[in-house]
Amino acid sequence: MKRGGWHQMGYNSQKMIDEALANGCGVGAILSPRYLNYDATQKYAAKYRDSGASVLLDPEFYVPGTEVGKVHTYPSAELRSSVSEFLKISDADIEELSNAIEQENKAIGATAVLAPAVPYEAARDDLVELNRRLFVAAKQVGDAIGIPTYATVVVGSTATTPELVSEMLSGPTQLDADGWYFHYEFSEGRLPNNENEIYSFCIAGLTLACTDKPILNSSVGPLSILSFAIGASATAVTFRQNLWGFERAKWEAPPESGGGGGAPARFFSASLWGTIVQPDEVSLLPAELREAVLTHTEHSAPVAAAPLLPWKKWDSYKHMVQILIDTANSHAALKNSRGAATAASAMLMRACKLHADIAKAGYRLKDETDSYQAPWLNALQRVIEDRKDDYAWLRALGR
Amino acid sequence: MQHVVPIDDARALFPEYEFVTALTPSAQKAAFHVRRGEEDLCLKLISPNYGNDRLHREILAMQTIEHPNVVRLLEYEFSAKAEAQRHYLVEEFVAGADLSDHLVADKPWPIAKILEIFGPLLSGLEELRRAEIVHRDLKPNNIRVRTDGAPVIIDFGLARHLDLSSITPTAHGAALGTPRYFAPEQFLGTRRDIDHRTDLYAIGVMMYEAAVGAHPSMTHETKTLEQLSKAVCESSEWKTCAEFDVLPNNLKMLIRRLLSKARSGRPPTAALTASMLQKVGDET
Repeated sequence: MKRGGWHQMGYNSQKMIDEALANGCGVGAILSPRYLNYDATQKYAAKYRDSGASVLLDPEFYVPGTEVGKVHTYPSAELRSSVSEFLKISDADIEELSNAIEQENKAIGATAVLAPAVPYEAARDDLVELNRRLFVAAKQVGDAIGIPTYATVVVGSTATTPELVSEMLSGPTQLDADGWYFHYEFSEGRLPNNENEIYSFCIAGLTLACTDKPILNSSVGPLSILSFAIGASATAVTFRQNLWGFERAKWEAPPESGGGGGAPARFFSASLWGTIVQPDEVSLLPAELREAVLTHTEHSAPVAAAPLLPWKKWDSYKHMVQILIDTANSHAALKNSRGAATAASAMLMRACKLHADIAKAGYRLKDETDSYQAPWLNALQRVIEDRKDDYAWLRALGR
Repeated sequence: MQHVVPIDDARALFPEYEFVTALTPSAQKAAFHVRRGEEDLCLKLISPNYGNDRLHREILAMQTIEHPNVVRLLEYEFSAKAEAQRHYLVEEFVAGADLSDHLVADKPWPIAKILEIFGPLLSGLEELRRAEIVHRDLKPNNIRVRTDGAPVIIDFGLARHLDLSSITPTAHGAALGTPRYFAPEQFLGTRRDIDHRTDLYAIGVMMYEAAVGAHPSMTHETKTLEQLSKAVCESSEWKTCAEFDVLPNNLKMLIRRLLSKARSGRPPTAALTASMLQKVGDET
């Protein structure tokens, strides 16, 4: 698994990913049947590979009976059914699913097979068993093609305590996986700010990391700042807010059609680790604060101009993804997870300080963009303190 | 209850063998050190109460493994002639002593001996993992130490092939084996909770005993199974033991992980455990 920042595909993001990868932004892409039809997936996978990127196909069986988006165009669509039916899937159908997975992964030239899986839930041994069977089917494919097979691990929101998370992970960690494709289902929105939930998310990541297998931490958005701190090898990000966190509802409803409608562009600031509305809020800030907030990329030149120039929304998206991936890559390059935890902690601390300075100057940024940095920081610091053994173990493992 | 067969009865039933001595019997088998020509062997007479399915699993388990740290099955026979019925296994005879003879209370091992015994033991256990076999009853009496010091895993009476989970008749659930070396999931869980890491927990208990000279969860006050279960599933008092505290950091860390209450906290494989044990050697 290539270390660093990956692109997670969302609605209409295939071209942007292509451009980013061609420009050296990101080391891989995760393709999505929900958002891209089978033919287009093959076409873009080839382009991404030409840029030197790794390519994975998320089979998206989180809601196994889903018919959203383009899933019907994939060979595996025939095997989709409701959870209750899927739990009774026959050996013959598992074999069929295995064939479909092989066909799909070969067609896109995947660098690893992502096993289909439903989210794990507390005290649901039947789901553990189902996922085991699905994993075995995927592993056969990986072994046949000669590529690794990553077990998909979605920690469902019924794991409400770190103890339940550890217990829940006892099932998937017995799989003979070559790595983990890890999602965490938070009970709240796209930017969770419940410290205890963030803490449990961190424990889940560390637990997987301690198996000494690579982890691709998916669906995290800005929460990717914590991925390497909890032992991940890679993190998958996008600008789409509905991909900032795992939400089952995405596979229960038709896909959204746009990227925020007529809302103004938002500037993702590395120093705030959050967004600020451009130009409304940016122009209000005193020069010193504005300078501290505006962390630029090659996509943000209009925001640096005086007077401010119009900024295309797609450029604001590219800017954000660039910052997320640059940060991921810088954390991935650190010596070990503990080092990444220190780096993430320092960034969040600076973000909290800058938010406090803005508040002190009498400004209040919209949409509670200052609401999550402190809980993330607190959770991470608790993890660093409470899980010294995990970090020592990871250090001994050389990660 | 152990399956005891008087040695003279065994001699009468198996005249082709020279009986050297009776070995410690288990609930399922009476065992003897025998000779056939120049060859030293272990003859195990199977109890009529031993379920056929379980026996077949044991045989299947043993037949798939060929490793210097796992006992070799040489023959299996079930025959009836006239009024005599013979149901037995022949294994290689592992000359030496049980690991239990090496584990003496209050006599911790030097680190070098821990590496010498547990390194190869983990290598044998990794071979079981590759074959998807869980031993489920790893304990010092089921590990022989050859006269040259090499450990050998024996007695697969409770072994389970993970692929057979759906048809296994051990519906008694997880609670088979020897409680002294039980993992929390063997006290509390179902059979689906038993995997390779259950064996690694038992390795952790034995490693603790070897390093500290005492059992991590049993004290003089542990009298009942319930008390033991509570200690194994709820207590981590052993971490504060002074004799444990003075061990090398990497060994303490490894034992702490092996004795994690949740399986997800333990190393996933014996191979990874062995490589971390190697780091203990590097540290000392």
